[in-house]
Amino acid sequence: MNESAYALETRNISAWYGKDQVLFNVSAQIPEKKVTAVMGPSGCGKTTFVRTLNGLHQTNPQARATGTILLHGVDTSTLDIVDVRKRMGMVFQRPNPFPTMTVYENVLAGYYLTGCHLSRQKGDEIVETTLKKVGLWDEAQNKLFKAGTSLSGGQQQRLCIARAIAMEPEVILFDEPTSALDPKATAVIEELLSNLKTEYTILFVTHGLQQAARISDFVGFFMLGELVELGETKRIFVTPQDKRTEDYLSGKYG
Amino acid sequence: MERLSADSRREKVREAAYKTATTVAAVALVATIALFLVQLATASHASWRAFGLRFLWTTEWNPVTEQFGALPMIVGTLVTGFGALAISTPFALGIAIFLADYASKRVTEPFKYLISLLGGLPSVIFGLWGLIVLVPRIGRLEVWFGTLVHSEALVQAGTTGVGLLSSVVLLALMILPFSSSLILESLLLVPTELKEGSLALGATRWDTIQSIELPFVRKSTVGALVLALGRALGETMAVTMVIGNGMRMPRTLFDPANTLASAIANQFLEATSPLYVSALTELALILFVIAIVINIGARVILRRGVQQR
Repeated sequence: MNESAYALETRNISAWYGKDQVLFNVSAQIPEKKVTAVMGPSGCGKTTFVRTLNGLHQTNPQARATGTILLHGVDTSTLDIVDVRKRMGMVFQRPNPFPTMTVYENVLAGYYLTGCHLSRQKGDEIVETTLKKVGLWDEAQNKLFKAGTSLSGGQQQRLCIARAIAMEPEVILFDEPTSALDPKATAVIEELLSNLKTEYTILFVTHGLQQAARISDFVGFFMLGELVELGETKRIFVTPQDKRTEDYLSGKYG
Repeated sequence: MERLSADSRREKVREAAYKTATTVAAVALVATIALFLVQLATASHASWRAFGLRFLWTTEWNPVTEQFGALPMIVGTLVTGFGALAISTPFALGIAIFLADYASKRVTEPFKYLISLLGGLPSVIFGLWGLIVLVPRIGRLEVWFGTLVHSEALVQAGTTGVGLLSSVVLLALMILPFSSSLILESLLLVPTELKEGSLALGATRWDTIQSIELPFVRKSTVGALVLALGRALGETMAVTMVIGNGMRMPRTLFDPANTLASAIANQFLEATSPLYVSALTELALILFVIAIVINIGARVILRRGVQQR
């Protein structure tokens, strides 16, 4: 057991796609039950960073990663990757509800997929409470047995959040979850975060400065595969310590 | 102003000419198929008059007494077709899943090429290979099995090796490229987002294949299998070479038999009497109808599979 006061901590994470190194010794501390935004210009490695955390990056045969990831102080390489993923939910850029499943089945997809049997009653209970948590219950309770893909884009994305929290993870990774949504649906999801962080540690990749400022308690700034700076959002935005952060905040790079 | 209107008039004439030409081509295709059906029906008229619907379920096929019944061939066609499908489907799924989800691109690409190569091989080559390599081995297997169960009839049927079983195995191999490449193509269309969404929930790769990918391609897979079945039912050359031209109703899988297609190929040149020719033509008509029904069925299933997305 390594000592770590954080929900999630990385030590010297480096990652490659083929021969290209895309992350360089990223050491980050993600505090528990807070929203930590990960921002930076496109191609800076922020998405790769969250994808190494649950091992999705490494599912690509050309990709690899090194370094240590501590989940509540436990080195994840000593755990089964399946367990790591159950404890670390993920929400993707584009809503990806499973098209062959109903709304109801999508919420419970994690249980179905991992061969976990739920009683009818327990299943109903989880569906109702998680859909309520993501504010989808009122809109979707009459559509529970319709295809998950029949919902609107914003609703689909909330369904995907429901699917992640139904597994009761400790951490939820959001990979630019609002980039495919309209402003209204984006606002709904941003509001949701303040509720979710009372129960979960949230890591939220965004390439929008304003979004990072609006939603996060902490923010990490990535550039060219390096974590330049990580700290309290207010502090980073008001008194950045690194010249590169300052330049980014003043709009010098996209 | 004058010029412009002249141009547009010429444009209109050309447009009309193109439209007519393409319409004629399209109509000609439909007309050919219709004509085909009509001519097959006309040419088999004598057989129709002599045997009526009885042709479909009587089993005697005797050119000397001019008694003709198609049931042995219909049975032979369905047994070899569905038998081949049953054997090749698990392999087709296995190949497609391996190439789509487990193999690296370096393996998948040459494999795809190899599969299409196998699919494009002339069937007479399959037939020759079947006759030289497959049939003697199947024959030994049949004799061994007959001896094992103490059945003189099976041993006798198996001695030559030609027959239903050899045809089933050969056909299974021949349709494998079609079903596996069609299934592979649809598996490759499963969006990465869905696979990653599943993995991110803690599903293993096999969980993901089973619960996300296969349901996603279910309809197109059924369509692919029906298309493969269509090919198996109509395959002529290779089957003709290994099925043994048996005209009696097959009792076991080891018996020599005939399919609709192989009966025509085997006997058309020897058919001397008009009624004999007419009966063979009626076999063709039956095969034609079966093939059309299967193909339309496959297309309907495939289209529905696409629409659902």
